[in-house]
Amino acid sequence: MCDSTSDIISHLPSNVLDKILMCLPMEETARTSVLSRKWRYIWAKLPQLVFDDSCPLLEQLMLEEFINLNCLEIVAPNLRLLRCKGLFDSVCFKNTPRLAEVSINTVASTAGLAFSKTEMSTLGSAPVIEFLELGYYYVKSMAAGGVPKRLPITLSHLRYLKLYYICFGEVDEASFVLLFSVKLPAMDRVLELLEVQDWSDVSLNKLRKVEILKVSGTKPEMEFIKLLLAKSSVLERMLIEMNTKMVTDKGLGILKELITFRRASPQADVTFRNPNEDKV
Amino acid sequence: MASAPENEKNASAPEKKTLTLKSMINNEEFVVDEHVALQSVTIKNMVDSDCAGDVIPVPTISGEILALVIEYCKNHANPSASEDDLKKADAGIVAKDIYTLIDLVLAANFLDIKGLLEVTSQKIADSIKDLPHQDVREIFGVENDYTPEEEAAVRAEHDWAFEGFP
Repeated sequence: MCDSTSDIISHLPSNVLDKILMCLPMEETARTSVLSRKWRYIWAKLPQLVFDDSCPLLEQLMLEEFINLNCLEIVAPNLRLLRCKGLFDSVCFKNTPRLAEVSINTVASTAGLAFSKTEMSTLGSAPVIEFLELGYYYVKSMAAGGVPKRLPITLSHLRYLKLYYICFGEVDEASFVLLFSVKLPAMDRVLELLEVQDWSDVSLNKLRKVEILKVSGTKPEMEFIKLLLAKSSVLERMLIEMNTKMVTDKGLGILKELITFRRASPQADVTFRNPNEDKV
Repeated sequence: MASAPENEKNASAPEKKTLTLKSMINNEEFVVDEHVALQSVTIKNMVDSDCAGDVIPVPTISGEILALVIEYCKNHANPSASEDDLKKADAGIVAKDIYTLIDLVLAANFLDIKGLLEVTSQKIADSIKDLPHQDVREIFGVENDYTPEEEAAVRAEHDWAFEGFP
């Protein structure tokens, strides 16, 4: 090859270089970052990171703005916290018995995202999840993979839940509703689907904090809020923020309806926020 | 352990179809049984789509490397070879210096032979395993273009990976 340097390996096609580096444990690949400038980020872009026996103590993993990962497979027996934000197709939890805090946010805007039914069920490998944050595309893709009859996780340890920009337009997505706000004109259908889910044994007995943003006051949304209030026995705070454009027309109606909902947790502080006013 | 003789004759088989692979680097030609050559997905695609003439030109791969590739394909086309035999044979094929291994991995990639790509990649990875990065630079011929300060900063950023390294 007509290259001035004798660097024999960094001229390999990237798939071959990836292949070679993926034969090595992660710390080994990370050490290549000091070889030269060209090598600085090669290891960080590998499509697979192996947290093997050499990192049994890994407790926190944050992946920001990563791309080109097809499937993120998490095998980390001591992992407590996982945050990932980027472009990827799926996340599976294989061995994460201590995982308590999960935040997943994919920025994929393509329709290529597809989750299998097993995807969601792998969350069962995270039985003690306390903090769950799921982004729009993740939920959308997960729902597209099919709706399990029952939730694979009990969420009995869930204390904090954050979901945002959820907007369900499809039957499958709508029926995937667990803890998402619902916006669907065909409300009867959603209600029906809500009933399909076996809500009677959904245990939300540790859920303390809920934020629901951009609520526009549709019947499915209100039904959903009603359900959360009725099922969460130790709920401390629920924040409901209106959709900016709907406040004037529907704000009061929503408030009136909210007051009538039965609450499993008597001390729950339900905050109704108008985004047009100063934030509290 | 059954070790097949080098030139296995199969009397009952009709005349075997062969392909000729020609290295475009040094014009060396190799006549191989078709089923041996078809382990290369690239060649298989050519044959399947009728793009393969009597002689299949193989660009960028030298005769020396092509011979190794064919040896690998022959071993793996032999149905009576045990897993153990294959492992030993693979180890023999990749017991080469780093330059040969790089050529071999490129050939495996170009010809799309999954198994060979894997064993060669693993061998290259093994060649730097557990070595300090100074040695890795030498093996891969990497020129360090960091200033000492930059290098120290990059290293500090990955200090968790350098435990036990000078």
